[in-house]
Amino acid sequence: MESVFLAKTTETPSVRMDVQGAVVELEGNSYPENAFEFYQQIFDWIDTYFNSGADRLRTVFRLNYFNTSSAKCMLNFMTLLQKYHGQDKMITVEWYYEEDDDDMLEIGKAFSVDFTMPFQLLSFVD
Amino acid sequence: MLQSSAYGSFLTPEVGITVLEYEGICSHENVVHLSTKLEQALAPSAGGRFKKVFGIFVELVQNIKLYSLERSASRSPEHHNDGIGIIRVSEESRCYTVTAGNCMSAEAYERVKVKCEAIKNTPKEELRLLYNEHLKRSQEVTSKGGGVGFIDIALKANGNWEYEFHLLEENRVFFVITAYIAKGKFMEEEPKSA
Repeated sequence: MESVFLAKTTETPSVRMDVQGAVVELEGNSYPENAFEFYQQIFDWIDTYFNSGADRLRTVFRLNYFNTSSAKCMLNFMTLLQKYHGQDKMITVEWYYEEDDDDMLEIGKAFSVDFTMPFQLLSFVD
Repeated sequence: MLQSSAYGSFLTPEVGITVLEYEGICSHENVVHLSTKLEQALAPSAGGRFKKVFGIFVELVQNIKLYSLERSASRSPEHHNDGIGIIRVSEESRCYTVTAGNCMSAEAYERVKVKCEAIKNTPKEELRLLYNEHLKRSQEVTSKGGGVGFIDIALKANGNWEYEFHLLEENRVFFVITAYIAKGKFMEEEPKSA
């Protein structure tokens, strides 16, 4: 099981999938041509990570903008984390939103209500 | 065949300063190129409103790419079968306007009209709930993203958006969607009258 780092592009976030740090961290914009393909590689890594015996994962979402296809992938992401939370894995979600970005805040709020793993909404100033 | 040069006449009349206008093939490469140009042109001056303008712009240009009836005939691999349309971002004294248009079939027109009417008739305060519901529903079906996109645009424009359909020859329709993003919260209820 190896850590993986995907570099940021104009339309995809940087993704750090870190085995030793037990963290998956996304940062940047997300409007790829095929969002489902892009996020599937992260979901596959998480599945392999837990199948390798890991018992915890911290996830950090620091996204500037994502389109609706990516929003569906975020929902799938939360559904996957919820599955492992239901299997007694220690899951945490840190959802960052820029102070005046009500769209990012509201979607984070909706996820925090719909899913039961520990979920923090954290504001930042750019 | 409608000529590309004719698209501009269907858009909402230009008011204020044009920040960006593009007419042609909306390949993914062009989406990225145009969004980068928009960021360079508007991000420094638009402040917190930029994300809303940017989000609506990307959503609309990706809609053209995916759903426009008129497709690229280019043999170039990067422009393979992408939609053709027009998009314009302009700035007025009190709001930013993003307007886009593309051709659609009569069948698509019926579907889109129903969708747009339903969203337009939803009170602003219920749009977020509608968005969340559609997002969950879309998780269960394979979709390129069209349904939730209009609600996202309505949300980002705080309900200040409109649409038009122009009947063309050969059973085709030209669809125009326009969103207004208020510059200040104080005039969000009346952004159109600059």
